[in-house]
Amino acid sequence: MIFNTYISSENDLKLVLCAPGLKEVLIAPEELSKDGKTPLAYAEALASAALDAGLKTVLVWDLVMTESEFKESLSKLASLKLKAFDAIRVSDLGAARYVCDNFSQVALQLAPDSADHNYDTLYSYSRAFADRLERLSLSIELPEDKLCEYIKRLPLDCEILAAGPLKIFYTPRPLLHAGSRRQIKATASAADMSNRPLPVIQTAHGTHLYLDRDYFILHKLAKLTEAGLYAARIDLRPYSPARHSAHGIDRLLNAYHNNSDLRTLWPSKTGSPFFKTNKTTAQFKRLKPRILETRDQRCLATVLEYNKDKHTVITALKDFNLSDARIAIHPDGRMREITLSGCRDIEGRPLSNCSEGQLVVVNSLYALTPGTLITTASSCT
Amino acid sequence: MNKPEILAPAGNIEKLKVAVLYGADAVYLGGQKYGLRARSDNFSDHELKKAVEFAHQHGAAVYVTLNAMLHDHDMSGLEDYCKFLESISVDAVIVSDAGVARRVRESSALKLHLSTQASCLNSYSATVWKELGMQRIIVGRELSIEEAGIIAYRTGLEIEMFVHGSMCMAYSGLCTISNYTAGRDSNRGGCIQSCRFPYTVHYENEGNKLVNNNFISSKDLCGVEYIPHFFKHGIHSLKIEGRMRSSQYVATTVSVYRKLVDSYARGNWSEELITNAKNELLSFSHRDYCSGSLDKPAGADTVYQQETSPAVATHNYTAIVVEKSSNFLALRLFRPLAGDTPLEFMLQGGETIRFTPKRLLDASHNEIEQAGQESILLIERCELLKAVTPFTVVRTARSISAKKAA
Repeated sequence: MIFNTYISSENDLKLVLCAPGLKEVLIAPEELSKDGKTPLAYAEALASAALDAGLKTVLVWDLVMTESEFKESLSKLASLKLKAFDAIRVSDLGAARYVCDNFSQVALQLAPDSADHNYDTLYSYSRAFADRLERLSLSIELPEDKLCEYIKRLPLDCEILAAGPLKIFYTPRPLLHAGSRRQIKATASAADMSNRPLPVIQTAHGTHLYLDRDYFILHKLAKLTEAGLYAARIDLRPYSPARHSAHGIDRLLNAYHNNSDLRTLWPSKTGSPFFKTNKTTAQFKRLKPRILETRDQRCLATVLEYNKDKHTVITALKDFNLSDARIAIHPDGRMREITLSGCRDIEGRPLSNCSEGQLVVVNSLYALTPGTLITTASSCT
Repeated sequence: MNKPEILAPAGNIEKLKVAVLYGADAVYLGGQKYGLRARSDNFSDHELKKAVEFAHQHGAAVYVTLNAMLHDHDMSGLEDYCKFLESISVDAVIVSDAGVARRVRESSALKLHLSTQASCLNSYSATVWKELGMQRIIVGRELSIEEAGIIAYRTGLEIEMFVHGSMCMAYSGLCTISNYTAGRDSNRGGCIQSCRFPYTVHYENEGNKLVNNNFISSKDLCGVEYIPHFFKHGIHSLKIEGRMRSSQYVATTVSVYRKLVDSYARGNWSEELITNAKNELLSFSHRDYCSGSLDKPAGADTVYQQETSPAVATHNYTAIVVEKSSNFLALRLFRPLAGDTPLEFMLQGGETIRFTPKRLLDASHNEIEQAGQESILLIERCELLKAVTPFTVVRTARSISAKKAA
């Protein structure tokens, strides 16, 4: 396994060369990358210096682009000599297609922003870009066992964020300062989210929100490495001085290889939210309407009105004999036996059968709230 | 001339019928699994079958959302579900990721639409999705109509654009605030709408300025002025957001956009038409409107700073007609109603009938002075109400309701 990190200055390059295991540098021009810190004009020279130092160089072009922005990006890309780069890293599938079709000399790395959380999707990417795609960056919402599985199964190299800020929101709109293209930093907190101070950064590419804890699994890479993880990414850009990106990478990776306590070296609070398990799935059963699954062909009617003293009104979901209505299923899922009596239509005429869509007024049935389903007895079995 | 389809949300069977009867060319809805509206009523398989039958009887298409970003274990049963959807003649499914698209293709011949959740914003990306089997792209809301038209032209794909409703502030599918702060996956139907929370923002490099605001909440989209542009740029479908919204919202938005599209297609287009449409779209609760990025990239002026309350509306959703018999109209009430309140029956052709019932009757024919919420109200039919049919939406002017309440 190799490490990679972002660089944006000669000083970063010096630090990287003192970081054991770091074999690849990511150069993210401000104009082409949503979190880029390197002036476009300097990117090529920096890449050449990194190449000369024996490092693999990756140009980061990870914008999500509208048709117009894509065109604008291409004109900026045209100003770069790509021979200084071994690979181009993209997020937008359109950029991936463009690289495949137009830059035959560089490899493609895909780091999708979207939640690509199933094998079929990742495999589809590997097929879509065939032999041009050398690496796929996997989502940090995937738990360790899934990451290991995908690393083993996918027919290409995989990368994972090992340490760095966790972006949770990205919009092209300037939300901190209208019209400004310079970088603006803030923190935002909401009472509804326990006042957690979320870092916010506005750049020329829009506004980004980050979690108040960085993602950090640098000390938990053993199983992933064993599974064949190709690259682990470390992102120190928020903790590096302006125009620099790799502040502290040398100390961190020396500590990694000396088995030191890595978390104490990281400049911010850390966490690894979904690394052991992704519990977001557990919420869904509670969110679903409880009687959804009972709304099947056995449902005869649903209650529209419950008038304690006078009547209950139901609407027929199908044609049925009113004596077949035997069970009420409350919106909370509780069931009870019922018998409809005094059935009549809205004209007041007695009814024994009803047709779909028809209202049936019946003698009041205790506590049958609107939304209660009426079914046949067989629904309960 | 390309005449765009009006595509309406259908949160449940009632809303589907309202959408279709008020003029939608197509509806989109979610089944029990695989969609993004976990808390919506959604459709059981049985309801879905009936929904498709109803829509097709009325010439409308049905698109089913399978647009949650699924994990491996969420895929269980997906192939069988696709076969079921195909067997009931669903017109297309809406997907967000390539893996789901692959499973759909392998198990059925269902037509594939790419969800806006995939944030497809350029023709190169659309080309990739076309190779992955998509026949339609629901483009991201960051795109202008002109740019969307370029994608349509370059790829030959059908392009669908949002024309009305709430908007994500983030690129769709790229917001995971709910995941990390509430343990609910926003891309699998668990969004907690954290963009609508009020925030305290502390600016670090602007003199430590402190601001309290809704800085990541977007105004609502309203595209009434841009109907000619959708025609001009070959946009295939105009989507109305809002599966969680009321039948009044569905009826109003569908009627308004139906009228605009039909008028433009007939060569009738005027400022008066736009003004009337805008006024009508004030009748239900909404945030301040903006045109999003339909014309130019959405700027800071599209942030919803609550200049007006989201509950502001000229009308209340009062009732829906649930049955018509020889002597009565039965109304299902969603709010209390006093006897002398003028009712507005929004007819399915676009006309509105104002009518004050002489007397109110409960379902047992007892005369009442006031009808309660969640009750069935009978009113006697008369010549004026001849054209009123089941699923007609009934509203009341808000100032009148407010006065009555006082």
